[in-house]
Amino acid sequence: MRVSVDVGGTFTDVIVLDESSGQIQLDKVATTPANPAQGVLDGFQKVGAQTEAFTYFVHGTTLGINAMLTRTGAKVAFVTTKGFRDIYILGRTDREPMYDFKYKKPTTLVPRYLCFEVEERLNYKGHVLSPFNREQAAEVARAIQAEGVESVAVCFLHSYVNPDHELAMAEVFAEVAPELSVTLSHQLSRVYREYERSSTTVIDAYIKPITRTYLTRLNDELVAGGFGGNFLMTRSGGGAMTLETAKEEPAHLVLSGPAGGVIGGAYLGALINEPNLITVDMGGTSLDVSLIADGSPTIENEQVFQLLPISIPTIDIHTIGAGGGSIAWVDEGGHLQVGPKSAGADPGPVCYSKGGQDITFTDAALLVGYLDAENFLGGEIDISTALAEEAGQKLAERLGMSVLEMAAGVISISEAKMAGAVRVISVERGYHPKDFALCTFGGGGAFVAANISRELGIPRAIIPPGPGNFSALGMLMVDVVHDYARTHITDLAELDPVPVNAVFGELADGGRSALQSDGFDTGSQQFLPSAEMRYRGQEHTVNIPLPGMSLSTDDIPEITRRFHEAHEQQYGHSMLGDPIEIVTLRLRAVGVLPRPDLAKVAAGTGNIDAARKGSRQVYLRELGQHQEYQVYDRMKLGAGDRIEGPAIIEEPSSTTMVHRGDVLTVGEYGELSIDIFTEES
Amino acid sequence: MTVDRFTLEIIAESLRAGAREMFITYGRTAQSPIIYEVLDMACGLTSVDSELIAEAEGVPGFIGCLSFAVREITDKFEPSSMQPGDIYATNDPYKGGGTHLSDVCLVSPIFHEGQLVAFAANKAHWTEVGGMAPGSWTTDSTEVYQEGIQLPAIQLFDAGEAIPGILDILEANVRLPRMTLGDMYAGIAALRAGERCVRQICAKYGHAALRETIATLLERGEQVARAALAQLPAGTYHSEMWIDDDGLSDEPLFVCVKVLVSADRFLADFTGCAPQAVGPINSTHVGTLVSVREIFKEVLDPDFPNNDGFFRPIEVICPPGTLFSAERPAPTSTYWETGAYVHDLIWQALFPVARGRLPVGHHLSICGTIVSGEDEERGPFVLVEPQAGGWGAAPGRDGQSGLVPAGDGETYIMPVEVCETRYPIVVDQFAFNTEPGGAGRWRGGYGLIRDYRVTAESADLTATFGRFKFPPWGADGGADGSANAIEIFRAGQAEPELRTGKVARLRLATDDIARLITAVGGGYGPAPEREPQAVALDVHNETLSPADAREIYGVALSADGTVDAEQTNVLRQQLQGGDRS
Repeated sequence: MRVSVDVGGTFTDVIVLDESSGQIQLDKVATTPANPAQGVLDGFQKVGAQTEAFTYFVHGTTLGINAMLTRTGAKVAFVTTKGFRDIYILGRTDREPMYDFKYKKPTTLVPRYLCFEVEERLNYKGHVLSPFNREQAAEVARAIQAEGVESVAVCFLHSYVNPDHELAMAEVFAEVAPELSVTLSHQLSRVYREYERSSTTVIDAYIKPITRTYLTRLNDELVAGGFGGNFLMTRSGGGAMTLETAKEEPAHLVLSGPAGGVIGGAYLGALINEPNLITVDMGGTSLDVSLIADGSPTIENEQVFQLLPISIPTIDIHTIGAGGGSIAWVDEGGHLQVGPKSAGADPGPVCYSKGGQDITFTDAALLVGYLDAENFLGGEIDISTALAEEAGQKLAERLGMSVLEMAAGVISISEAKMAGAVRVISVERGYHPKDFALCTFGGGGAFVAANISRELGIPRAIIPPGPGNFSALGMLMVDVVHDYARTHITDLAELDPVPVNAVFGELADGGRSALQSDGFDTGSQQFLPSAEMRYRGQEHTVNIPLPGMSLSTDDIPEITRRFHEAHEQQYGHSMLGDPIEIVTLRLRAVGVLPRPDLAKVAAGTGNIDAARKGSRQVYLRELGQHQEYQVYDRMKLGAGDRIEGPAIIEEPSSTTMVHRGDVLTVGEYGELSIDIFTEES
Repeated sequence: MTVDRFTLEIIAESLRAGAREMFITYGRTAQSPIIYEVLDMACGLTSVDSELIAEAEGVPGFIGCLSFAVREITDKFEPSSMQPGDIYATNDPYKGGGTHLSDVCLVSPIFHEGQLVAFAANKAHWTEVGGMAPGSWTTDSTEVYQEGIQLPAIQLFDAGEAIPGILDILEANVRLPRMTLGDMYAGIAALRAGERCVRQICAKYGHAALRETIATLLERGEQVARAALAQLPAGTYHSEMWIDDDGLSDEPLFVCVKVLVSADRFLADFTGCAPQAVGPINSTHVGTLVSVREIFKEVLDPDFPNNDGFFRPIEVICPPGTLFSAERPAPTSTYWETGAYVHDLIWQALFPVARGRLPVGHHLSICGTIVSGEDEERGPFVLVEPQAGGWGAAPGRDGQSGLVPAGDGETYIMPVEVCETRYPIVVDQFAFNTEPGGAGRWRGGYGLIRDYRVTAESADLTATFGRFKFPPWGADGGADGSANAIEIFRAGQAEPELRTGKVARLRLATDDIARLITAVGGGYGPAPEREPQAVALDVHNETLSPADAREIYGVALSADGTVDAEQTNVLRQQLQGGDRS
């Protein structure tokens, strides 16, 4: 039995997959912020899962990012090269909201008085300019100890090429203050740019103590319940890592939760032969969008969380403040706006009757008829249409329009914003939406799937089975992954394979021993080498998969061709004949886990009337009037069933809109596939 | 009105997305670090009447600049004879270019079904455009002819074909032709992205809908600006300042503004400013208009998406031939040192009525730095970069430390590790400048100190650090900040040989150090009213000495670093008594 748990801000989602039958069971319980492990155990109880039967337990959590958000991580000291005490706090000096002259830099995770300098200095080649001063370093360690610090981040200049001084610093801490948790920058990132590496190291040090405490406690509880399987955590960069690695390198856990949905998307895409997918996860507060090209999630080598950079490979997830709880309001010019402020789970939308006063996306969906008051969360929550109408009336009067016009406007504006987010992840990254299918999940994704697709010319929208728990489902499909990188700047045309292969040799040795200790034998190890490259003079790089870890000069034409092609694809042009430079060598080491099979659903009878629940009126802005939509129960549909819009498909956690002209087909695995109608088609 | 309001919003958002896409394309494909790292560029779309309709967030110093470039092109080339694939360029500082020769504007017409529907335009700082000095800008030019190749509104491409010879001229007149042409192609790719977006809009919603949306957006921009203007107390506001010098002489130069604010008009009158200078700090009339647009937006509504409608209430009076309205052939290559004063003057004049929107004075100067030379290992090199400094305090908050000046935006300072990898330089320190200055109830933010030690046999340093003689302004009892400065230490010397605000191609030898120092921002409110806890924290963080805590802030600390309340009372009474006497 494989089990996964996604602990989110509001809900803890649990999925249990029976490996022999492919059957899944899923449920949600409330997240217990004071002790998240309790929520996990509650979840097991609710689905009736026995911990002794778990072969794999895969877990995703927002614990790390929440600690950053609420500034409740550890008391951290930062140690760096003499002359550079301020490099972490002063950051990169830019004003990202450029026109905001009252912009405030992010509050750093370490105050200046906890930033320390050690006498040592390397140059960019890793040669020693000033030796490591062990005595002075020991004084620094004692000073840090005296401050009552729990965790230390060490980042020396040019340690990405030569880590000796950082390792020496770790030895000093081990002697002087062995109780401290120590993070060394080169162990997380072997890439140049001292601020980004420092920030990555600090984030890791900041969340390490609470992550360790939490994971140790959860594992103890599981073991006490008879658990003897593998405990894996999902990583920001895709794949999973073992419990032991997660405790050592929690920086990789920052996007642990949302990564699950993207991994699930890639898995589903492979099953149903849709290798190009844009995934859209619409929750209560935010919308997470990501892109899968040719079966692989797109990875960014640097991400920024709450303005603090983290330079480790991370799935490229674009988040905007648009969800079911997003609030509608009137701007100074008298125009209707939606979000990014959200009513959250408490008080929530007006129709939840929990004291919410502001019309939200969910209220608008109820008012236009997208949502049925009787069927919300399978009837688990009482919905008040009257309250929504009352609040809607007030807002509509301010805008000088009817309640229905206002509500339909809220939906349209939200859809336009969401389409904008999809545009960022696709068009702005050089991908054409028409080459993709849109895979939507989360509580609200299926409402907007068809219209977002239409807006961007995406031909097909897909609603996976169990869309409300899809991130947790994705977590069941992971492999174990370790990422390695090394800045190694060299001309491609004059590439000397010897040093490059030597670097890959070292990286692979690291990968092999890590996978070995994770329990993978050579047969289940995979190595994926790539290089970040650019035209000489450029700064931004493109990551290019390499033909192997042992390169020869014969490979140069092929690598050159791949680079030009990728550059053309991403940026619209290539500069044939211009010199190309390799900047960073990367290696992903993968421990392949047996992939569970999802159960197929029974074939439909072709008679969809059996699944029909009735019909309802939906108000449409472009018609300026209501239209009748047929309503179906998703649980009663079978593979091959076909429904023409206008129709609504209901299930406990989600409602799918199929508009006029759109055609829905139920796939083998129960996924809903909507062919999008456009004027041209 | 035939376009419903929601479709209108969608078209407006698509236009902005198009401008953003242009910006991303340019930044990601450019060859010049100053474009892709500093984002020293603007990208946008204009109407057929050259009115800006959508703009990506570029450096604030370029806000609303593109309309002037498109106007110059359409004044010279008849739009009715343009064809798809035509591309035009200008960098004329006295006309649509508006800044210096390094900033090159590219413009292309956009067609739908054979009809001209809009223009795509961009402007970016190309590292090399030739001239007397590597990197093209310098602090000692005396004529525009020394500052690079001039592109006085010319056509580069005709229906997709390069005009014979033009690219050859460009290539022959710059030091790094591969980089310069690379920037040009990146700019063209950006124009194409804008064109694609507008054509999609037309295909989907029709040209009429686009036209109507444009008209409505411009009208709405004007309404929003006038509504915001009406919120400011009507009146006349003044400010006067001195600019350090023109780089060639040591004479300070007087500048002033009179701002007239009424419900529907925003008039900036610069009559009385010093005549155009011999050195290259001159700003032109168009450059001045753009700087006024920048501060106008900041004061009225920083969030409103830029379009020309929003700027309609602006009027500028400036007699020709002044520092703010220089005429050919006055040099303009460090125009920003003066252009920044256009917005700083209006900023200070309006501060009393815009306290909620603006902090007090900051380091202001971009502190542009060029290190060039030849390295045995790496060949010829040119490092061009801005520096960041201290921002002013505002009621309720301290100033920000180490932040790019107002004219810059999403501008990064080069990481030490990248700098040392690329250039024969070792950075000996990169730290906050916490020298005294900017004291106040709310204190100014800290500047930065960056030491460049040369490891090559020699290198040349050119740098322009304005506000070297006249530090950032404080207000309402807050102290002025400290000064921006360049210090030169010869190898092994502990004392600087030189401390100055501007240098041109100063020769540095191995192990000489150029120390780049940026100012502490201005303070707000009297220092003795600062929260004693905040003073104690500054001492704890080692950005303020215990002696200065006593003398400037009247705060006494106990041995454990906590506030000694009794002693503090005594000290503060003394400080206030001193004020009265």
